[in-house]
Parts: sequence; structure tokens; C-alpha cells
Amino acid sequence: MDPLSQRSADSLPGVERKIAVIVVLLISVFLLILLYFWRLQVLDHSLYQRLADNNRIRLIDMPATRGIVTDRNGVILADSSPDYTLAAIPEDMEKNRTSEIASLADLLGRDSEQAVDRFKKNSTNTPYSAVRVFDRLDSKEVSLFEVNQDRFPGSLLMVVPRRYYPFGKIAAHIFGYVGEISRDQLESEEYPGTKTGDTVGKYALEKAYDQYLRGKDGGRQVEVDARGRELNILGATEPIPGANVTLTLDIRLQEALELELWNERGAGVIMDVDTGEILAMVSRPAFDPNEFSMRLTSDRWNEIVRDPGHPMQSRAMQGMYPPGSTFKVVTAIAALMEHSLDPDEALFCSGGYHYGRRTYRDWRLGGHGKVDLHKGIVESCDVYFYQAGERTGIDALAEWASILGLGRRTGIDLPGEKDGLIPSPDWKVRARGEIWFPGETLSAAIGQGYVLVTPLQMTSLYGTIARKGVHVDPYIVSRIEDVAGNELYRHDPDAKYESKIPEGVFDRIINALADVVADDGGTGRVARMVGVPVAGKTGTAQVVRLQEVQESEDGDIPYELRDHGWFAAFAPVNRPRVVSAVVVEHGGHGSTSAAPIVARLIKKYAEFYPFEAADASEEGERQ
Amino acid sequence: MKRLLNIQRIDFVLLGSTVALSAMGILVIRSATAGGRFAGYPGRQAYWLAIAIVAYFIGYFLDRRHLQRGAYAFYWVIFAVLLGLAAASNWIGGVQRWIHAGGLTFQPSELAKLALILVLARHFSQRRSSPPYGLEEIIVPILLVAGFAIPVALQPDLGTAMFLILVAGIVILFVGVRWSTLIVLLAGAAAAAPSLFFALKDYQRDRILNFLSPGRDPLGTGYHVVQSKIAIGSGGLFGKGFLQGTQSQLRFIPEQHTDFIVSVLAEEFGFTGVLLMLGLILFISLYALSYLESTRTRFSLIVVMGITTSFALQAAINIAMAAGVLPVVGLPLPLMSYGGSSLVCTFLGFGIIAGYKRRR
Repeated sequence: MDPLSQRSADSLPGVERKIAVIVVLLISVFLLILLYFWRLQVLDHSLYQRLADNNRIRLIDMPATRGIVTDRNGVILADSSPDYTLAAIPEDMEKNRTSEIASLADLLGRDSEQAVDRFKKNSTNTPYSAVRVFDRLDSKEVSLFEVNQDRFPGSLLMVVPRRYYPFGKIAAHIFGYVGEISRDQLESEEYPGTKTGDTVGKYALEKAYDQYLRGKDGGRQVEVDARGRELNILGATEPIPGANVTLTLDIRLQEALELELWNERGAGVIMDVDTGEILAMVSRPAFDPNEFSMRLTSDRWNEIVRDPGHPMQSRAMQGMYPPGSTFKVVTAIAALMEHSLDPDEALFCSGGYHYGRRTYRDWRLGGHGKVDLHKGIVESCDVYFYQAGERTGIDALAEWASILGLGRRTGIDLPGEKDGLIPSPDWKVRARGEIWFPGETLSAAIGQGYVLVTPLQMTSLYGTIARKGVHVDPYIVSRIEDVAGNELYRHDPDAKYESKIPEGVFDRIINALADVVADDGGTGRVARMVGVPVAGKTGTAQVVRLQEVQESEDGDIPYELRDHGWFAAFAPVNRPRVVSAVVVEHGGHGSTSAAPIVARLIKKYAEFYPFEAADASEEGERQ
Repeated sequence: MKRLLNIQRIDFVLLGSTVALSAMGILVIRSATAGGRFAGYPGRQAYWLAIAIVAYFIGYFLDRRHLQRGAYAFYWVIFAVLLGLAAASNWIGGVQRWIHAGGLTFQPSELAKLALILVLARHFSQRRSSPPYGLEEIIVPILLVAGFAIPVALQPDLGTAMFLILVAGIVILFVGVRWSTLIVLLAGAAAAAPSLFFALKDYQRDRILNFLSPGRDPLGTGYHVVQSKIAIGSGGLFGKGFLQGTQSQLRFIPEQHTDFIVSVLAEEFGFTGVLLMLGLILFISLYALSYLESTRTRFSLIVVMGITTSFALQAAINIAMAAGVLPVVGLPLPLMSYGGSSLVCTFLGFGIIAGYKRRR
């Protein structure tokens, strides 16, 4: 008997059989490997010898198409269009590669220095891979190249998807723009999974959602002949298009608001009250994102950056403006919550308020006479709110402003939003190293001085009032789906929280805001054109302290010294569905600059999303 | 005197053939790194070979009882180190596979293979019942494997993690399991694998696929595998000659001094070189397996079988990978690829095997 089998009980039964199996398996595996190498090295030797001799394998990438961005109704807002791109394979070029690129540039009539720079920047260590040098060849350039192709061995035409925004400058600040990844961006790993020459989102939505939108490039490995013509494909991976993003925007409203503000500097937002869906968000002036996907020249870039209108700034969420009288609702809520003011007590406005050694003026020279809270809001009496602010105190004012969501980002799902500013004595000591002067409380109470809000914050604030204290985070990306239709992201609608201010307080404020529009003495009368009861508030934000001039001869003062005009409103009063805020820089009074815009915008909204008859009636009974 | 006697009985056939294969490796590394920034690597590999030979003798002279009793302690030490590395890689970021100490770097997942085989051998040698075993007897081995495979996978080094599972599977099969248990296990694994894979988020899946074929192929068309095949195929029967490989010298092949060392050998030394290498690997494996004849205990049977098949299997996987038959998983070719940890651990393993003969 085999000695193995009669070993101690400690041994393994049947071990000799298992060893035999292992030996047989090992020998067969190695024989198979040997046979495979025989095939590669002996049978197919000539094929591989040829491939190795000529090194005729080229790696040509097939860039993925960027995901489509659509509005809430499926209208395409950002798409891709095919684009002829001229690429070069460095190893196939003549000795002097840069001069070859330069003469290609000359042939096409392009800037040769820029082309050489780009060629050097995008050259990689992977041998025999195509480096993209010229984009967007028109048909003339394509035929010019094809005729002269023999002079440029190593150059080839590729079709590359290019980002295209059919609406041009409209909603530009929401999309941002795309461009070729820079060396720094590659090294910073800001964009994981990218390589040189890739197109990535560089601003706003395109940047923040780049991972979703970018897709995955594919590629082809081809064998080419000595002239660079493809002989056969050795391997290919199809590109996977990026995921599609659906926004809450309604492009019709976006377009309407853009056109309203087209020749202005300013911004505006319109939002669904219940959900926080942004229906339109406009910043003017704007840039054309198509210019960026077409590769800007550095001159054009400088021109855009130095434009005094700052077209790259997303004013709707980054522009910080003094809110002016639109802020008075915050002062009113603070005063009511602190019980520093009896809303029915009438204060007297003579057109100015003496405080310290100064007289704080009212916008109406003759004053408003006897004013209670309701009239104070309806007629936007400054003197009333100076006193409300004085009695409430800056700390309480700042606290309630903060509870209402000011002084911090609204949390919209786009990058770069600004905080705005709600000043307090602590803040002033920290930021400026100065103590708080009591008079500054009065300025803050009417939304002047240091108070700054963004148009988005303003919209969100009036939305919170419309919802009687319930906060809803505004958002713009409603869902993201990959090309197969799998949902990768959906906005979570549960981000609501209560401000713990009693409904009665809001009822009083809303009632007054309704009369701002409905009352013949109200500053927002123009909004009656909407056809449903609207609640709103005008604001006129001083740019500089120049009260004397600005009250008498508004039209004659220089543009940059004119006031910013605000209007924030929601409708219908009884069951608010839509809220909007617009600021027109240097537009003068809010009642004449911003209020008509908001009114026409809400009217437009009602065309597409009609209000229910009960809410739309002018006589809609108010609480 | 006794010690001297032992030295005389050292098996120089096993040591000699492993040294010969390693020397061949250094030669190919020399070609693979010629003129590049890794030009110092052949020298460093030679230095590692010297350490590896010392490791062989350590394995050889190691007291068998200590080996058996220390198996669990060895396991837990490696477990702690792997856990630390996995934590470091997840908290500090980046890939953590090496321990850096005094200018030397060491890759503990190489030692993990050895530790795993020893601890499984120890575990099964302590069972009173005899195989084939059911589920309850192999639950502990499965946990032991998971204890290594999970932290290694988190390093992240999925290739090695899968290889550890494979080695453990072979050891368990060798010991013997009931057919029913085997079927349950395979079905369980088959059911779990895809659902685990698909439960992952897209980017995680991408990441895993990237580890499977490390980011050296940005377009995913198997560019480097094609280049590797061209290198192998163009080598022909006798090769292009030392330092004459066009594919290797022009750096068409990634990691050609580690994972794709075979491509360089095949290009420059042709089918003849491959035949010699495969012959040596098979010879070493079969020779090491012959030690099974002279071992008695369950522990030693498992140790000899485990170390040898782990060596042969890893070699086969690496070669098949370079030839484009298997996906690239980043496993080095034992004894040939550049890398001190692998070399030292392989020699240590063979030293342990050789140690069994002297007790005959």
C-alpha cells in the first residue's frame, strides 16, 4: 500500500488522489499557456511582427456626448452638435512638429502660436494617440485640409461633440460654460477621471454637475497604413453619453424675464411657492456660453472679464444689493415678535425723523401723517420704520432677519451663491473694527446701510411670507437620468422647516402687502394688471447718500448714482402659488422700474399656469 | 555539529532553481528598465534576492512546532497591519499597500498569502473529525479568509484580495468538503457577487473596474494588452535579442518591469525564453509538490500544497493576463517581477517547504 494512505489519523483521506489531480491540472494549465504562446509567437508571428515593425496602431478617442439639459417641459436648453476637429499624432509627424502645427495653422488661417501651445499642452505620454489642435473647422477649412493632407502626415480629422446652447445668452448664468480642461485642473483632481483634451464644465451648473453630464469617452484602436489611413479596427469601446439633467425652469418665463431686463443691469427670480422650484432666474447683462464652447481667444476673454457690466456675475444669486423698503416686512415681523410696537398705534410722520443730531428723511417730503403698521407698509413710510427699528433694536432685528433666512445662502443647488449681509454690532466690530452707531439701526430698519440681500434671497424671503413662515429651499435641478433612463438623482422635496412665527403675524403682513397693490395709495399699484390679487412690496435702494438731489430731479442724476429699484411679490394673495423678486440696478423707484416687470412676469405665469377661478377673483375675500 | 549536518542536507535543487528563475527575472528587469527612470531596479532586485535567500534559510530552519503553534499569532499580526493600511487608505486617501520603514518598503499583502495558508493548515490540523467537512466546519476558515481579503480589497487591491480567496478555496477543496456544502457555497457566491456589484454606485463600480484594469487604459480598449500581445507575438521563436525589443524599449507596455514582465521576456527571448521560463516554473512547482511524499501531518500537507499551488497559480494568472487571456488584475509574476516583498515571501515559502525534507 502507498505509505501516504496509512499515515496517522492526523492525515487527510484520499490525499494521494488529490495530489495527482493537482499535478495533472498544473501540467495542463502550463501546457495550455505554452500552446497559446506558440500560437502568438510562432503561428501568428508575421501579423504581430508587422504591427510591431510599423507601430501602426493608433489610439483615437471617441469623446462622449455631454448630457442634455432640459427645462421642466422638456425643451432642450443645452445640447451638443457635431464639430470637425483637427488632431495630430505626434509620432507620425515630421521632425519639426511645432513648425508643422504652425504651418497647419497658417493653412487654415488660425492663430499659430495658440495652436502650438495647445498641441504642447495636450501631448501625452501614451504613444501614438491623437492630440486635438483645431476645433470647429468649417466646411471650407475641412476641404482645405483634405486637399493638403499629404503635406501633413500625422494629422487627422475627428468628429467631436461640441456643447451648444440653443437659447444663447438666455439662462447663461445657470448653465455656466464648458471648456477644455486645463493642466492645473487635471492636476488638482477637481475633475476625477479626466485626461488632457477633455471638455469639462467650468462654471455654474456645467461645473457642479460635471460628473453627471460628462459621460464616459470611448475609443478606437486602429491599424493604419503609412499614409495614416485606417486598415482595420483592433478594438473599440463606444462612448457613453452623459446623464440628462432636467431643470425646474420654464424657458418661456425665463425668456420673458430676460427680455424685460435685456438692456438693464439687474436680476430677477420667479419661483413656485409650494415647492421652491425656480421657474426663471435671470442675471443681466449675460455672456454667451456658446462663445466659450467655441474656445475664446484671450483678447475676447479679457474683453468679457473687463466689461464694466460684469456679464459673468450671476447677479441673481451673487449680486448683493441693499434691499431698501422691501426689507420693511422683516422690520415689521421683528417688531411684532418683540412686541416693541403696537401695530394699531398710529405714529406721526412729518416727512422726517429727528434722531441724535440728524434728521432721517422720509421718501415723501410732506410726510404720511398718522401711520399705523398697515399704512406704514402700504405707503412704505420710512419714518414709521425708523421708529420701529429704534424700538426693536438692531440685535433683535438681525436675529429675526436671520430666522427669516437672510444673511445666509438659501441653499439653492447651484455653486457660488452669496450670503448677503445682515449687520449687527458684533459683526461691525469683527469686520470693520468699529462700534455700532445707534443711527445705523434706523438705516438698517428700512433696508439701507449695511444690509445686503441677493435677488434669490429676496424671492425666498417673500416665499416664506407667502407660506406663512414655512421655509422651502429653492432648487433648480429636479432630476438626473442616465441615457438608459435610470434615475441617478431626484430632488428631495422634504427640505421644509417652520420659522415658529405665528400665522397671525403673517396674516397682518400679507394683508398690508396686498394693499400695497390694491390700495390707491399703495406703491405697487401697477401690479393690479395681473388680474388676480397680488401681494408685494416695492423698494428703492440708495446707491449713495444723495437724498436732496434724488428726490427732486431723479431723471437728471448720472446713471451710476441712481437708485436700485426693487419689487418682490407673490400671487394670488389667498393661496399664493408664485413668488418673484426683481432688482433693476440704477432703475430709480421700484414702483416704476421693477414693479411693472414683476407684474408682467406674473401675468405671463398665469397664461401658462392659470390661477383657479376662486383665487383669481378680484374680490377674493381676505382673512 | 548537528546544524552543520543539516546544512549538508539542504535541498540545493529547489533553492538553485528558484535562484535561477529569479536571476532570469533580474535580466529581464534590466531590459525592461534600461535607460528609464527605473534603471536602478535590477541592482535593487539583486539586493532583494540576497535577502530572499536568507529568508529561504529562515524558513528552512524554522522549528516546525513553532511554525504550527505560531500560525494564529502570525495571522493576527498580519491582520492588524492590513487593517491599519486599509484604514490609512480610507482615511488618509490614496492607495496604501506598502509599509515604509527605514528607506525600505514592504508590501504586507504578500506575507498575507503565507499567513493565510499557515493559519488554515493550523485550523484544519486541529479538527478531530475527518473530512469531507460540512458548512459548520468551514465557517471559521471562511471568516479567516474574509479577515484578510476585506482589508486588502479596501487598500484597495482587489486583485490580491481575489487571489487570497482563490488560494483559500483550493486549500479547503484539498482538505475536503461535502459536495452539498460546496454547491451551497458556490451558489451563494454566484448569487452574491452580481448583486453586490450592482448594488454599488456607478462611480464605485467604475472604480472597481479601474482597479481590475488599473487606470492605464483611459479609453478602455485594451490598448496595453494589444501592445503586450504585439510584443509577445513579434518575439517569434528566438526573440529579438537582449535589449533589442522594440515594443519594450519604446515603452509601449505599461508596468513592464512588474505585471507585464513576461511580455518583455517573450519579445526579447522569443518562444524559447518563454519555454525555459514555463519549464522552470513547472519544475519548481512539481519539485515542491514532491515534498508531499515526505510529510506526514495534515498541517504540513496543507502548507506544502498551499504554498506551491499559490506560487504556480499566480504565475499562470500573471502570464495569461499579459497574453491577453485574462483581465489585468495587477498580480506580479512570482520570482520574475520586480518587487522585494514578493521575492522574499516566495523564498520564505519555499524554505518552509524544504524544511520538511530534513526531518525524514
